Amino acid sequence: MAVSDPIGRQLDGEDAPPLRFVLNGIERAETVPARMSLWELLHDEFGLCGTKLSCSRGVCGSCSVLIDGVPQASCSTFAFSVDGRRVDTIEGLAAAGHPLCEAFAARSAFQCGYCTSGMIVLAKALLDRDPHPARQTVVEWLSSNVCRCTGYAMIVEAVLAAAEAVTDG
Amino acid sequence: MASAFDESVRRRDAGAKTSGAATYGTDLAVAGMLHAKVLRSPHAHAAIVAIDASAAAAVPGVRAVLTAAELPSGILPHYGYIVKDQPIVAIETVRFAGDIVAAVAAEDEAAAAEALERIRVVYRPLPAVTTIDAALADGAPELFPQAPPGVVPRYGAGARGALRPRSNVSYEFAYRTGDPAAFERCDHVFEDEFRFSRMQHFHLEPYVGIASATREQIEVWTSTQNPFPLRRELARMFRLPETRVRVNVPLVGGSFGAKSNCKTEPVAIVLSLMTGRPVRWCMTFEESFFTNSQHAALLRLRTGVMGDGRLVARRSEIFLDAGAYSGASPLVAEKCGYRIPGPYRYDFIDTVCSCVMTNTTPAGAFRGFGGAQATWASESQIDMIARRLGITPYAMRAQNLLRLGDPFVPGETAIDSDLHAGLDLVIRELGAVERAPGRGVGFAIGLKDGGGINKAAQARVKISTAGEVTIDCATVEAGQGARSSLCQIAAEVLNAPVDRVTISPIDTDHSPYDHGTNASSATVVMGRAVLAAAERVRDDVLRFTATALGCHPGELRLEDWHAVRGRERHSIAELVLREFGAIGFQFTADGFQKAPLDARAPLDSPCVFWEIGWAAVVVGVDRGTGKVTIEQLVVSGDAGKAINPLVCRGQDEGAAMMGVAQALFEQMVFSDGRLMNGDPLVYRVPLAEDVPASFVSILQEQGRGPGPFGAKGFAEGGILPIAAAVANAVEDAVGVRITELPISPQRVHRALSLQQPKTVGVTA
Amino acid sequence: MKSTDGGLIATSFRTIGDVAVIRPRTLDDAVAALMHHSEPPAILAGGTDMVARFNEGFNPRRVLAIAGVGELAAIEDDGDVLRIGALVTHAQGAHSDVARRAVPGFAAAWARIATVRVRFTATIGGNVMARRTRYEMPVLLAALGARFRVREGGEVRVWDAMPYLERAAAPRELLTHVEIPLSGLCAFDYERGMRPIVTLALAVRRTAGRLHLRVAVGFEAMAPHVLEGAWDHPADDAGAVAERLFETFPAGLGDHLTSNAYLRDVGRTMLGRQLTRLADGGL
Repeated sequence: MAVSDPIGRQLDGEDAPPLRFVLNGIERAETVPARMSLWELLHDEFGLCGTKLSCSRGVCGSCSVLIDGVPQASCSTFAFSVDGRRVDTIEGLAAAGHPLCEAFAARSAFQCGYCTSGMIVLAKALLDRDPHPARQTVVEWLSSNVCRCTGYAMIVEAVLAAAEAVTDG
Repeated sequence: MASAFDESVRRRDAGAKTSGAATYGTDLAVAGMLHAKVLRSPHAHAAIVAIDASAAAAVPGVRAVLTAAELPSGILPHYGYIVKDQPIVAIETVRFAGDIVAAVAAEDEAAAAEALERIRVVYRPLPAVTTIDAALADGAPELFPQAPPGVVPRYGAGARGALRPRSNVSYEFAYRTGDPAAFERCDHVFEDEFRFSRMQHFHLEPYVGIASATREQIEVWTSTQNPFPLRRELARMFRLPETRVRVNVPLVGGSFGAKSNCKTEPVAIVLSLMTGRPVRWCMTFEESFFTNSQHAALLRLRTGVMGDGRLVARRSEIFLDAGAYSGASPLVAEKCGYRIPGPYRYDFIDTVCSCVMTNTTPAGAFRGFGGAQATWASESQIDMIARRLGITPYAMRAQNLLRLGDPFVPGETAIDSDLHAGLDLVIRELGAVERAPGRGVGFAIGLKDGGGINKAAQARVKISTAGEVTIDCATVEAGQGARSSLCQIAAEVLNAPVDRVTISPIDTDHSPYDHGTNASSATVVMGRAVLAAAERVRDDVLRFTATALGCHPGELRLEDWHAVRGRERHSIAELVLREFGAIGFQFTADGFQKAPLDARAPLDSPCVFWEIGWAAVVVGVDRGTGKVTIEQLVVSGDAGKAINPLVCRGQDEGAAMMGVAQALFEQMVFSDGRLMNGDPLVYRVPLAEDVPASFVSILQEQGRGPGPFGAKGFAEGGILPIAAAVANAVEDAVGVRITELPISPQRVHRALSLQQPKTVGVTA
Repeated sequence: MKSTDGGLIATSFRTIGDVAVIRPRTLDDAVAALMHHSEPPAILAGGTDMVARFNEGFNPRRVLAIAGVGELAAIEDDGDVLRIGALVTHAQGAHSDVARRAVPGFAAAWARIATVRVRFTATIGGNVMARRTRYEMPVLLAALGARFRVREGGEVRVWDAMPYLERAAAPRELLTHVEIPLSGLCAFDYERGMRPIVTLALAVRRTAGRLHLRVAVGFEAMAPHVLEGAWDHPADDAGAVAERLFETFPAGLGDHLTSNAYLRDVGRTMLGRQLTRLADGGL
């Protein structure tokens, strides 16, 4: 789609180019309706159910994924906007054995689990930018997402523990 | 082999929940399913004059349109725990803004929404009562001109219930014990009024259900805490034998009491009957605010004391804001009324607790179940009385606290935690608090009867040829770790590694019977059922092994699916194969648990155990803004024996943060029946930054629980004492008493501006 | 929720109909698209607000995805004005050296609005155009005397902050730049510790040796209110200055949760503290 079209046309349909993006490390090409959210794409088209739909307003962060390494609410993102980009979900992080998954599991930093995928994705984005975050930084980052079950303290501890594990190699 | 209760033992659902593999109700799909959406009333109270849904059916993809006129003949369209007053869709009247007026099933949600837009409704607004006071005022409009049907439960000594004692009160619970003349011998009688706010459960997983129904049978997949009670209610409504209704329950993404009894299921079932296809109804998050909530309350406490601080008598008048439909409100009224004395000795208790119907979102089971409301009022008043008498709040409590072995009230289970020791523990953990302007200390003790009333639980434990253990039980996993703890219990009995124990999915056709996952009961009540089943199957295995080895079962010990006899270690798997052939075998045994009925107990059955929440708090009050900051919070509960210490810690801290929210800022705000903050951006719940700078939860294991290995339930205690502890600390800090929640900056600021100069209050 | 003749419907991202997406590369193309269609396309920047509009029943047939319009993504200081393109995200603004040097305290305040996660994606233009009382940039920008540069077709118009914020959204209009006049601007402070009840953004300008204060009071459910006054620092006591400014705080301003008397009182206290903080910091 090299030429901008001010008049507008459907992104789907015969002449619509497919959405090309990298999903959990694998190149994908999908023709998707323009009206589709990224959450719906991941959940309905790819069967990736680990990213949970909750508040549907971008506030709770349960639906967080990484887009080019940036944590973003997939419920508030159009699928077409990931064209040419890299998307990572909880399934990708878990398959790669990220220490955060192990830290959350070992330290019971979850209860109902509905916010957990989003928290792990968010924390990964933090550790990618700041491998040795101060506790206050972890708290500030985690305040981006809502957990109703844990009271947060155990999640903060899991992230700090994972930071040590990451840097210990 | 490590103990099944070692802290390193991971929850059974840890792997799934930290990898995105966990399956919830929202993830389920049934082939051919349609999607439902509903139309909700914009009015708090109105008559439905006319509904024209004719244009809705014409929308492409729409398969059914449901209004009251389309409800199948022969069904009983109203549900509720005690009072059956909530219709599947509104019939002639809408009673709160959000009440369901119509429903549509379509091939996708977009078509369903478009169809709903085509429905025209003519409403005739009616005068609305949107607060407790308004609903009880003389001449207030009546929500239910005709009293809906209900059955009063049987109570024991001193307790009674009444349906519809007066207008706009759907149920009233009363309890009385002791000598009414006790008030006359009191040195002082203090009367105080308290108001408790309403929060929303804010479970992150929305309400969701899929129903596949015919006139002969119903199957639902739903996010619910109580599969068998739901089965029973649906069977009653749709006139089917219970055994023709199957309820399937996956992992639940948070509930806190919200997901009890009918929510999405009746609408989905009717739409399925109309279309002949499965129907899924997944509510949006905002719709939760139109479905269920916590009870706001007005509590009037009249407490008589002696001059030295001894509590003598308490008369309580409590009004719960039940919202537009009763739901679980009568049960909450029972418990709020029952718990209002708190953990203290009284000579006379006289309580009435009413469910007041208002034109607002229905209120229902919410963590604490009336105990949070009761503790707010009672523990606040204890401090107030102490200060009026010139006694410290600590001394007042020390003098009156029930001791181990004291009955809570006559006929009730004795107190099974050392209440005084717990109080000392949290205060000691607080340490020396340096006095500073605006800084204060407060504490409180919350208590609730735990384990449910007359709850029955069944479990089955099965062991395969290779020693893999499976538990069948209907305890729902909603985050509290119960299913995992049950695996640990079985593992301990069978001396097997915990990761060899799994627990099978819940469906009411195959899972043994259970009254529901609530009242902090799973570890104790279902735990004992699992324990009994595990012991029984272990004994079967040892008997089998003894026969195979030609010895007495008493000589054998089970260890990691081997039979140990002195120095010998025999593989049971091999013995099984030898006895049963290559196909092998599966051992299986059942267990059952229920507390006995006892007419001497006020609630007709003594409670299983006492769940206590202790809290001590240091606050800083900013006189300029009225803002209260929690500098230090110590909470504690007694798990008896902690099956999983990390789970206990998480439950305590999670509950405590809910209490912090209730104390300081969280509430549903209604203005004339219109909900002002029912959306995720505006409704403020605690975030990580709201956790107090110093936040400690202490897990006590006093060892006196009736559950397996001395365990007690541990899920709700943490929320109970927080609000009162904060209010007590605020009074200690700046000398003002806030009796209405939340303890908002504006309330504190206003109280400070009205304050008469006086000496700083006494401290612990 | 969406209101219809029959009642309330829970619309969402899943209930919107098919959309056509227009992805302009230039500002002129974007503006042309807004003028061309009988139903103007919905402007999509970061998208953090559009999902909320879907929940409220918004169901556009066309979406104008402007993330690719490079002209709107820059932050520039031309000496008179700090010009911020509408597509600048909060994270970009917060870390912008240009912004930090141009307006002391502003980038630091920008770094604290919303949440970490939202700041990566949400844009200053989206935050302002949404006109939601809970969003914070309007409060900061009102204090800074910001102007909003908008395009409608071929026309450019520059609005002062409060008139722009108080008028209803114009569907064919595109906010292109936020412009903060730099003349005399010597300090900026944003107090959000009492959020969501009340927030205070304070901008201080020095003209002809005198300090001029512009305060924007942000509320939970109302548009910001601006107060102005002089500060004869250090002669004037901070508390007295705050009191003087809040004398003009309107009597009717308050809502169902927060009374006018409280807002006036607390606002005055918070402002006094901010002024003291700035004075102690070496203003």
